[in-house]
Amino acid sequence: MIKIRLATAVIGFTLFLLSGVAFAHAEKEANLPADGAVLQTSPEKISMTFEMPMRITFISLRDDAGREHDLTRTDNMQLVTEFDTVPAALPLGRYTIEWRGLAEDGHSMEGDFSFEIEG
Amino acid sequence: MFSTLVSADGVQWLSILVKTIAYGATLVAAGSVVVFVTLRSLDNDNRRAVKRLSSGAALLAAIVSALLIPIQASFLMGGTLAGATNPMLLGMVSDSPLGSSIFLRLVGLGLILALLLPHRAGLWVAMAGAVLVCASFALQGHALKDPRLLLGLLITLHILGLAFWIGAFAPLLRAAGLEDTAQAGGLAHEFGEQALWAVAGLVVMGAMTLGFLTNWRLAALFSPYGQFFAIKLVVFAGVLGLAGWNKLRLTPALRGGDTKAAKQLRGSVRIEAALIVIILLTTAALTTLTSPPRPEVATLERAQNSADLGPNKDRT
Repeated sequence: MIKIRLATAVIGFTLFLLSGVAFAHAEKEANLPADGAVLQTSPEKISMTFEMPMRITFISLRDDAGREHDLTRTDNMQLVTEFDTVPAALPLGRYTIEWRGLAEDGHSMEGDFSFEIEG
Repeated sequence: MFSTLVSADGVQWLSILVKTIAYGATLVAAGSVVVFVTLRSLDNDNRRAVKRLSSGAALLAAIVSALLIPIQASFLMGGTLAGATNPMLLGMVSDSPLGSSIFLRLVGLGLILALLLPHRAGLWVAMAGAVLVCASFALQGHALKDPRLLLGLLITLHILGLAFWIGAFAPLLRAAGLEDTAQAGGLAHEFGEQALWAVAGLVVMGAMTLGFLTNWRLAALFSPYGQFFAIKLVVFAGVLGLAGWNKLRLTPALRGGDTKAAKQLRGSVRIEAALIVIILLTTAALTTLTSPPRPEVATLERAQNSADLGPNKDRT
């Protein structure tokens, strides 16, 4: 009985391994504005594009003084390859976006990028 | 590597600490079962002590491993306490490979408790639990890369070998504390013979795993991931040195009735255990703060392009 259970466990684990699809990293392909971009006006939207679907679980927009600025998102934390969020009208200054997310393959990711509005 | 450590936030440090305890307790629980099955020269007192240690470690490992889910949820919510209690995030993490890995580990740790059963069948149930516990490490993070089956088997065998090694510490310490040095000598001799296979397995499996994770590129060793891995290798070389000293010098002396050798063996095993803690701590930092570098990122063209993206970090 025990041998059968052990064999079942081993076979089950082996099948689990064999049934897996090819996992890859959820690399971010692009973001808008680009990191280090200098803009003339407040951006209409902030976007990120990923290689594989990703749930953005956290995103923040802060200025150099550390003040947080509102972002409006409509993704409902669903898996997306293109993530868009709309910032409130931003005054001149330098801003940093920080984000964290969980990719479809289970990898958790984080990143940040900055841009500046010079006017 | 140091900049990676400095940039870690409070939740990531907590994650490293909890992971280290989870790794240690899990390996002691599984390793005690492996040692119970494989080392025939364990006396009855030592067998009872190994049973107690295994079950205690299994309970601790279960509690601490389960904590990794709210910690991961907290990380995903920007390192806040609200994230750790958010049902939606907790569900997401539970459904992820980390959740599957922890679920399998909890099942394995539960089976390990069967070592306490008086029936002999309990021994084999506990052994199956130990194998499942070791396999759980292959179900998460970068162990899921292709070739998945081979990588999973390599990691499982690597963890089993490490568990055997760690599981032998407590029985060796206990035996070396007895007046009868022949008992310690016999146990150290048997462990030394079997550890030869474990060491060979650890080195081969570890090297192959590193190779697959870094796509066999030497440049990967200069990344933060490679540097953390290098620390593990250097510390492991120290463990091997002590093990060699135990096998070639102390074990023959113990078998010859040298009581001074028993004291030296206790000291040597304690240092080995401390070095293993450093290896586990490094592994926890490695899996929390870094990831194997990707080939495309290593090329100059990609590196230049990626400058427009800002830094991304894989935090599996």
